[in-house]
Amino acid sequence: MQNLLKFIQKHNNFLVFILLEVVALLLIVQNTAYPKSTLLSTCNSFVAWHYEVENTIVSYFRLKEDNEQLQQENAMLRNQLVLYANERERLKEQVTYRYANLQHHFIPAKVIQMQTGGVKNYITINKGARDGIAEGMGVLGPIGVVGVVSTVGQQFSVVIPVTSNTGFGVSCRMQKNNKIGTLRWDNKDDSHAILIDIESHVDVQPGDIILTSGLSETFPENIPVGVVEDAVVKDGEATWTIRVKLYTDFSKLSYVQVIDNDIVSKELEQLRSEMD
Amino acid sequence: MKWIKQLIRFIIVLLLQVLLINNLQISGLCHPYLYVVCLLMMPITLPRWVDLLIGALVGLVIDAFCNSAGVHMAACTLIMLIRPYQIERMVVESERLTDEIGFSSIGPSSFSIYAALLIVIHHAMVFFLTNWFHSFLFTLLQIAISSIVTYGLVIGYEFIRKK
Repeated sequence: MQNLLKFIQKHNNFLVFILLEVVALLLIVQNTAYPKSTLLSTCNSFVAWHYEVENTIVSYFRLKEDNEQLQQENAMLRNQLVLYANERERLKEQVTYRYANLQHHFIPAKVIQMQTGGVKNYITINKGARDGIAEGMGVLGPIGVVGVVSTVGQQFSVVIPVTSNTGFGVSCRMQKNNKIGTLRWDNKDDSHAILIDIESHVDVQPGDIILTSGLSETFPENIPVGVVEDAVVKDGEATWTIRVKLYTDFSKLSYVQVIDNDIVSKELEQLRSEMD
Repeated sequence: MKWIKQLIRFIIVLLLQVLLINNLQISGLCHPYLYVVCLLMMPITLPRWVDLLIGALVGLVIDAFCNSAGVHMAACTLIMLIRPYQIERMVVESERLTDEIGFSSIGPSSFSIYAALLIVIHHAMVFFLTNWFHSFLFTLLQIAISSIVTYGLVIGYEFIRKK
């Protein structure tokens, strides 16, 4: 016992060091995939407040660019609206149908801070639990898929982009032949990702459009993801490795929309419980 | 008074780090962590275990701003452990050293070597812990480029302070 006390007295600094390093390592291991604690991440309101103040200043310099982007999105949506309105009129004459329930609703949010280009990337947005955001919700940019909400604070949240090593696979399909694959990041740059799981006999050409498949609850169907840049079948593999140029330009991302899929998940849950 | 000055410096450098430097996305390879300058320049009059706790705390604050729980804490604690040994090795009468560590207190050449060593150790720790074993070469490049930029900034800071 006395020896032990002597030992501690003699090496107390080193023991404090070991203790602190163990705490740090535990924190790292616990938070490997994505930040789990609200306190130790950028959705901590104290931390996010700093970023928000900075963002209000910086965003003035990007107003023009942001406006153009939003206008483009507006035009695209208006085109789609006309298309669907015509379609509806036509269908109405042929069949009687009831209006589909609103399945998803979108929560607009602003990007207040972002880290890209590293191995672990993340985006901080200015909406949190107070605004109805929950873990696992999908996030869209002006044109394409952005990522998934990982950590939710009271007023802010952290989003893991598709271009992050700690990310997740997004279920996608090819527009022309409906083949399903999974989109992953290859740690290279934040304008490209890799589509895997599509069998090598399927016809894949550069320029083919990739959309979300709607197979997971995170993203609704038919959200644009990107276009095929090049595709190879590696030696000994039966599937394509397709390099996809993403529609989302992370360097210009200012506004995003979080998909609240509450209604869909509840319905699915209900269906599952009915099946059991 | 001396410690209030250290605290004010920490707050200014922290804001500079998270609001300006972290947002200059020049390349994924260049992530300088200028905030280590606060730890490098701290006087060595406190008991060592207090030094270690300060290091851990500074690291945790940076971690919260970088979504990297634990990474900076581990790196800062490590350089705070090495720091006094390194100073003792270079300065003969280190017990009498009560000023903050810098060009004027331990000499430009000693400080340059001391800063270079600790910055490289700190950056190596941070990038290895962030990337684990993903792309080893990328990590090495990240360490080299970021360390050089941080080192330049720290030495630049010292020059400005001297004037």
